[in-house]
Amino acid sequence: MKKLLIFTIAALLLSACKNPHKPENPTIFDYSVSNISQTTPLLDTVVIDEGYKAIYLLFSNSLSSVTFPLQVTATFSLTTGATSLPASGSAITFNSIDELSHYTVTASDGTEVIYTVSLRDDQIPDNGFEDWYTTEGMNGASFSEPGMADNNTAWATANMGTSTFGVYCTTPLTSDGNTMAKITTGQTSLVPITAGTVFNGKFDVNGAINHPTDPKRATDFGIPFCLRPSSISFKYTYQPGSRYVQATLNSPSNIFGGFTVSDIAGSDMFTAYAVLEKRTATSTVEIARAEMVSGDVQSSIKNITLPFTYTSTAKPTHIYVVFSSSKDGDLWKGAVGSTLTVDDVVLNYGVGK
Amino acid sequence: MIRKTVALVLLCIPAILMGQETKWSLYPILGMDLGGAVPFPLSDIPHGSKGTPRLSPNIGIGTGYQLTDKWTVGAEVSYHILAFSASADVKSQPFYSDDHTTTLYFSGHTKTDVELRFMQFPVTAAYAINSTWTLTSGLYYSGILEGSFNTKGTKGVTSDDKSITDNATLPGIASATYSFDDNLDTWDAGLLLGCQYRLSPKVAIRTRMHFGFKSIFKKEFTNIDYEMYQVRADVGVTINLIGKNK
Repeated sequence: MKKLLIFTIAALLLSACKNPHKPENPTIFDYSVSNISQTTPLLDTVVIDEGYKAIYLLFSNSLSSVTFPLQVTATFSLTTGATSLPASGSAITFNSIDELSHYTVTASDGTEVIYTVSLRDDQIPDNGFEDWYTTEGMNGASFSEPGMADNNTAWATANMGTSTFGVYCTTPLTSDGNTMAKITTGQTSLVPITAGTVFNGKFDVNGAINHPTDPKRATDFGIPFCLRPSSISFKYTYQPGSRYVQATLNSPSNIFGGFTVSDIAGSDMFTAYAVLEKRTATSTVEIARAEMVSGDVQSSIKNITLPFTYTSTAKPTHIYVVFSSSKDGDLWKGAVGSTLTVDDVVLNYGVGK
Repeated sequence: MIRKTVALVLLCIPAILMGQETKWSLYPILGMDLGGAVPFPLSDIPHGSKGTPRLSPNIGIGTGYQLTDKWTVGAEVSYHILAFSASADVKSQPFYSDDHTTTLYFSGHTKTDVELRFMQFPVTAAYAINSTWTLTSGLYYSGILEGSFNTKGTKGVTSDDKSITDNATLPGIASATYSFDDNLDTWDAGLLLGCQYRLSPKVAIRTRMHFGFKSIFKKEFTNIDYEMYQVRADVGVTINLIGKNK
């Protein structure tokens, strides 16, 4: 019996000593472009976004006059033991500005990751909202998102967050062959105000799930960008919803505790703003901002230009443009039915970039 | 409160024992717990679900008073950790808003991690079958010191429309994370049944099963439609410092 007891205790101790295998993380670094097959594109900056395994080639001019295909040759380093296909020093080909190129990087343990390479010029990609791709929501149904594809779009919406309820606040609106973004403040069976939004960056579905009472945690604003535009122009229409309300969480930390909805004075307003930032590993500094807030009814399409107000001479690393049909939607304040349509977002440049 | 109780027990027992040396026993306990929380009604356990209890050490001290040659009564205080994981593929598992006006359904894979740390205060009656084997039964009260209860749904479909999750094509892309830490109750009580084997006059090994009488969740927690009850086994060694095993 004593031997059995000792054996049992030993077995239990041994069972606690696990050594789980952790897969390697093959990584590209020191990426440097050595040749571009044409002279027109003026490469300014290379950005590696390790979180999304994405490489951005940022050009300081428009690539609209470039004749594709475009070949780019780059050299780079890899983590020890890793290999890449294509290899460092080999050319990659782009058949259009919207096309991605790829490096497949394999670690010594066989772990494989794919880096995407994107071309970015002096405008925000998909700025005309002509292209929308289809993706699957959390309810298993398909819905549309702005951009060519999930892995290279510059725009995001909160549609994924509300897809549980089959509610999509940002949708394509096509008229006379032109497509724009229709952004609407809606509601779900759980949340009485869900402002529509479209912005540059990523919708963080995990942030939305883990912090459902803080909508801002669901947004990861910003795309790589290195120029200094003087202003931003876009076309829009706006119609505020009829009942302007403030929804208040009954329990501040519990989305399932319900809301108290109160009518408030005034009317809903949309917001549009663009921010240039310089980001480092330890800090984020706002360099410039262009902004407007309006609750005026705008039935016909209006073209508006907002100047950037610069507060720094630094070179930016990121830009984000944000449109929301209810400016305080993240505070559960707005009017169901408020509708903003947006089209043709253009960055304007003065003498220098 | 618990610290004071333990200190009081430790201080009083030796004094009592001094007077009635032959009737009283005092023994430290070292053991291991293995168990979980079982959904009730049992029909709410998803088909194919897997539970993985985590072995956790416990420590305590107990005292016994011999009533007759066969019967002994006892009281103990011990510190336990109950930890387990469970995974299951669920279909249209509901989660209700607090006022039950909204229900979210989830179909997909779920993984639940639970850990409870608690002080247990059992009172027992032991019957000696023969010179080596003793049967034990009793009641316990537990004060939950801290606890966590987290469920994560992955590769699923979630909707407020049950017909969608009923007919979902899996795997889906939905994730859902629920933390029920704040909904765990601060106490538990239940029944224990066990037996003891005497290795020597001073040393015995024992095993016990513990069955909770109440849900591990607070009464007002109604966001899910089942309750969960503690079911736990422990295996331990007791060493009589004063008195001896019967």
